[in-house]
Amino acid sequence: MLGVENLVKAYGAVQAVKGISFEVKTGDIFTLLGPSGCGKTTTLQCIAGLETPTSGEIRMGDSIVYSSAKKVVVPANKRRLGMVFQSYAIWPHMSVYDNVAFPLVHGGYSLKSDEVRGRVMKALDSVQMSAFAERPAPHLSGGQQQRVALARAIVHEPRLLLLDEPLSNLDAKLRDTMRVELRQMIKNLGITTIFVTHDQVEALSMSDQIVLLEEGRIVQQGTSREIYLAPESSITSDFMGRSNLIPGRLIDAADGTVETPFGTMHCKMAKDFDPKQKLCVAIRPAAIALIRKSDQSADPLGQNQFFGHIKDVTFLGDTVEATVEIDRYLLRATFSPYEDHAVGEDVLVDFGRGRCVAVNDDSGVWNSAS
Amino acid sequence: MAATLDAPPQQPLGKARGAGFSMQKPALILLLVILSVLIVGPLAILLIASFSDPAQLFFKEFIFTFGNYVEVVTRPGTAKLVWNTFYYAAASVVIGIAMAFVLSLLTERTDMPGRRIIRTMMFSWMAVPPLVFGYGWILLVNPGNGVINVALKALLGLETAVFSPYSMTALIVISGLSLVPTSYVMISGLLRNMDPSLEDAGFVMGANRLRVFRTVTLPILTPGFLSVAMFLFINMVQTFDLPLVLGSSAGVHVLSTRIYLLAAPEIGLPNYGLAGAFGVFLLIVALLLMVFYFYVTRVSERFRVVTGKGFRPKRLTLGSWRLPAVAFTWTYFLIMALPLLILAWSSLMPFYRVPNIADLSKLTFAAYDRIFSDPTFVRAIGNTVLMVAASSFVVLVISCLVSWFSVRARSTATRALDVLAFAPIAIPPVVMAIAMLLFFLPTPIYGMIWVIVIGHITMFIAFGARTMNGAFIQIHKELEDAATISGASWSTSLRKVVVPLIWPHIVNAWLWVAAHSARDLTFPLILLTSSNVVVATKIYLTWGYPDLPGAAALSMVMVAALMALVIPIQYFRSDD
Repeated sequence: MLGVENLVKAYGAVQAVKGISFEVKTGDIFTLLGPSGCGKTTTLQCIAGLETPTSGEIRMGDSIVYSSAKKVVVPANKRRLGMVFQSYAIWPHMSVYDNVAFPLVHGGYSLKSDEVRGRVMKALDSVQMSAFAERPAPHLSGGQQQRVALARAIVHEPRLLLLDEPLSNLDAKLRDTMRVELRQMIKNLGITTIFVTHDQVEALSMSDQIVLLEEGRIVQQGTSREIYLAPESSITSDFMGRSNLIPGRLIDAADGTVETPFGTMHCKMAKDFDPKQKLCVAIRPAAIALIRKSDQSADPLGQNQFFGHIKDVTFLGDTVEATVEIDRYLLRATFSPYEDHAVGEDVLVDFGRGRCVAVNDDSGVWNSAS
Repeated sequence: MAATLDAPPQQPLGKARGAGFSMQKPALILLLVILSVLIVGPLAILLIASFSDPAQLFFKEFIFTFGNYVEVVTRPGTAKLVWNTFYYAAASVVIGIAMAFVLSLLTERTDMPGRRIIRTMMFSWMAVPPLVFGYGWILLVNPGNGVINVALKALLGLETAVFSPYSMTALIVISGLSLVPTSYVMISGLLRNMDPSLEDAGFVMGANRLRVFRTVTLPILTPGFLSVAMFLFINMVQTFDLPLVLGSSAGVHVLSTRIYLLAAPEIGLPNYGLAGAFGVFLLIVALLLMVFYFYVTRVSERFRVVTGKGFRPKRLTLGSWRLPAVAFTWTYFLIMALPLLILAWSSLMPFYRVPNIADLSKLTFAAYDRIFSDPTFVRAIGNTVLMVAASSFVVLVISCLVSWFSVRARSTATRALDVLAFAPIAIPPVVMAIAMLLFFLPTPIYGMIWVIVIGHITMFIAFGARTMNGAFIQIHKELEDAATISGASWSTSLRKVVVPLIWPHIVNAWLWVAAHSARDLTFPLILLTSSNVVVATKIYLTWGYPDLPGAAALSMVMVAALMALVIPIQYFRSDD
């Protein structure tokens, strides 16, 4: 549905987007994820037509809306898009009805007023706001404003729905419920959606495809599971929730062995590495099992098992967080609050083999370790 | 979600109309061309005139000469003229700011009663043209039959008059008084926007009121004061109306009146060459002051405590100071009202009489009847309505567009537009008016009311664009983007979203431009012909005729009309 090819956007000498390409399938919720300044909002603005790219090409369906080579720039108001803004941008001088009717009345369609009414009420129905049609826009709560913004964005059957951090203005509790509802509403409408966020929980829970951006480049693209469980670089694994990043050196790619500060580990390989190449092993705190010494007493050490020592324990309620020392190397692990480990305890630390991933060292783990 | 399924099936929307052609680029180019022609064109002609032989009618033949500049520098009166101009400006600004500071402290920081009325009156003072104010004072303190002089002579048994309006001192005091409202508007703004927690911090440390005021409040406000003072000083260096009305009779000249008299002498031919050279000189003085002003305000940014939040500072309880404060305030208003009262009296008399009870029986509306029946008066009123309506409308349209470009679409072209629109701030009106005269003299527009309209548009865009910049900055860009994404064209998003949202700012700016266009004497007088007389010039001509009741009645009509426009809007705008 949407094709972006080699998109570049420069502001003076600074390149905000450095040549990114991706394809979005019809009906998908496609997420641009990354920290602030990574170029995700700029990319969205280029797709929307609110910014003109420096070079590249953007296609929607079979029509080109921007191409530097073919000298095509379709202005934003002719791209037939729907967008929900970070601030919602609900016009305060109009009623809810007039807000939603705006794209139909001023978008260049010749519609009779009863047809406009039918479409507006249908859009308001789909976000469960039809009871509020005549209300002045300033008299809405944050969640209601978001629904109205969504209704306004879909009322004219846009080719694409663009969402710019739509949840960031809501309070934490409402955000949790709206996350689920928003995905449900979009999926019911069946509309292809580009979603921009800096929050990995939002991205993981709402997306069909995620693109992780950093400094204007794509770091990794995949489904939520792929991005979370099979990171290709230390940046991905660090951004998608916390990870232990252990500096390592490849021993043998065939059996997945890596030399680390406390011994040889067996890992999944994110990509092909050269022999002896510096890399890092990513392992999530939840993937680490801590086994009381007395429980395993006589067993010999298996693969990816090391003796360690609990330095610190923090009880958080949902989980318990522990700092574990293996051979003077500190790691973070979490365990269930119903398990009982105490500070000073000697434990067997078990890194499940499938849970350790050898990734590129893009974020300078080696540099900070030495 | 079930509701979606129940809704009747609908036809797909189909294609939207329109080719995707944006009006932005043509609009930007058009604005740049208009502003360049309006500002650069006349100034270029003025410059040429200043370098041409005054003996030649320079439109016929251009003979290059430095003669005019040599004369400006070597004339014996020039040094005196410059000194007069600066002395006049500085002294009147001191009076204006001192009184305005006391009044704004009283209304912004104490519990003095009647604050809202005072604010409204101060903000509404733009309804009183300086010309009218000046004539009122002449009637009050002229040595022959000025009301105050007559009263004092009778009271003290004196032979000669105490006051005279025809002196530098009188000019300064009267100009200072008329500056108070403008200064008040600016200084009360400073006080309103100052974060009171800065003062509270002082109290917590154990300092008393006076000490906090001296050691915290004043230092914080000093940069703001400086920039207000500089701004007003620049204005007073350029001012024309009061020095013309009061100073010229006394032979007290400043640069602006000297330039006017060279370009429009009462006897002999106009000397455009010399007027041009003086004009260029005044322009350079004003530009230097403006550069200095920007330097000062840039420094004051460091002290900026204006955050745009609506602060509600604690008000000082006046207690036993209540009575003196109220007395001071209302004495000031009485002084401001006196000129209007004497004009009202004069307008109701068949000929001028010192006010007295016996003459009450002679009260007549004859002068007012004349104004609304005599074709020359009616024509002046019609011209004024046309001029005010046209110039304020065009100024607002251009200002909104200029501000939109400079806030929303930053580029080299829009920055040039911004500078161009702001430039007239540094151009003295009298210089611009003479430049316009020279520019349009060979064209058929000269002599029409439109030449004055063009002059006002050029001068007032600077104010309009500044005000609108402030308004646009407050409007979140996404509100406009939402309209664009919804398929609205640029002009639709301006009309349906932007303009409604900044409407209060537009009304305010319109009010200011309309009032200042109506009260301005500079452009109508310098560009005066028999067919483009407006109310301001008609008052001036009628006064000089002399037809005192007629001039007074026309003044009253103008002030009443402007007040009817200004006061309601200002009252509903100003909350406590």
